[in-house]
Amino acid sequence: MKATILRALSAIWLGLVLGPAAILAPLQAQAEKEPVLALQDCLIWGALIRGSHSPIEGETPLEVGLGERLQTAFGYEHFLLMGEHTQPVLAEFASYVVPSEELYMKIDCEGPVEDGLGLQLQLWREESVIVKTDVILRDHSPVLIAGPKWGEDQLFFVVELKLKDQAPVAAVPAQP
Amino acid sequence: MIEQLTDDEIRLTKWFDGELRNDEISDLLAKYPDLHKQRAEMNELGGLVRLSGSLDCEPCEPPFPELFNRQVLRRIQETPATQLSAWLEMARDWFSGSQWAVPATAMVALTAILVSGTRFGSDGVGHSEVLHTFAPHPEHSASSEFIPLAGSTVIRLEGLEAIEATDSITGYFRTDRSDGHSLASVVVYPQAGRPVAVNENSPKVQTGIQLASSTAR
Repeated sequence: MKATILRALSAIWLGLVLGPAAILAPLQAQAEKEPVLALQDCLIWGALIRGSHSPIEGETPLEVGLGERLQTAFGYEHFLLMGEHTQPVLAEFASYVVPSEELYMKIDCEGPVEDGLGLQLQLWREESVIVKTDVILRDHSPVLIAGPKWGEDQLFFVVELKLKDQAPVAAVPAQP
Repeated sequence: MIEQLTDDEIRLTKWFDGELRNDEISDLLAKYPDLHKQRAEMNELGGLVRLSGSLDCEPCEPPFPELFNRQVLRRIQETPATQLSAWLEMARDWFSGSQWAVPATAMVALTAILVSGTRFGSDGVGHSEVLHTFAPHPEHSASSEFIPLAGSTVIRLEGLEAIEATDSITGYFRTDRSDGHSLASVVVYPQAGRPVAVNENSPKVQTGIQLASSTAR
């Protein structure tokens, strides 16, 4: 008898706790995952960067913080921006970020996801895909891709989400 | 009722199973010369059955199985109904095992929901995430990680063929404008990294942009 009463009380308690949770949890999750980015405000910046342990002729400072990120992640001390391309994100079509003839990126947009942008990226090397990846790209957080070696140096492909009000101006190439 | 086999049938079965000595096989074939043909036909039929079985059982991998599985798992995990039903399932299991488990389960569930609410209510991950990465070439491999010290999400590609130091690499500097045209400069880097051509507005580059952007998914 006592066990039956206890079991009934427990069931009521469980219902009281989980009932509201069952109603509120999906609503809460939906509200939290509401995208905060508008697709038309998003730009994708892609850059081809050469990393070296030796000083590079024509070396110019990279975007603020990018050199430090690359150095910490990969250990190279000297960097040269070899090309960059900023491209709007297209919802219905693939777009391409082409900072270089040899290495470029195809982008399929899955749309805004929470505070980022869901993308399917394909890094192409000339006529073949070398990596496919699904990413959530967030503002001020580049994805650094270590590409092929170039002699003693290393090529990096950097892809970053930029919002339109902070779109970078195309860098001035190094003078010979 | 089990039918009794004749001696010849027993010998025939043993022959098919490879259990007869050569002299016994000779005696059997002398008595039934057509058995050679029948055994050959049986072997041929067996071969066809094995071939058919091997074809059916051959693994049929989707083109990108890891990507597919990861996507499915991620979407299941992201569904709030899945998370809640997992809690309820767990509570039901515990309820059947012990009467004291129910209040405890309720408390744990309530705490977990509150904690997860707090976590989701914060700023979240905050950095770019690589959900999956895949190198199509069999000799290449790709891995990803977030390096907190660098504050960066990194993808490493292993096994790529190096570019010869003597090969040049062409870089572009450009920004697509809202009117559809782009400002482009081309820099060609030869082996020493020294540019040989700069600030060249290249029609080739502009054509490339138009071509690439018009590719439908």
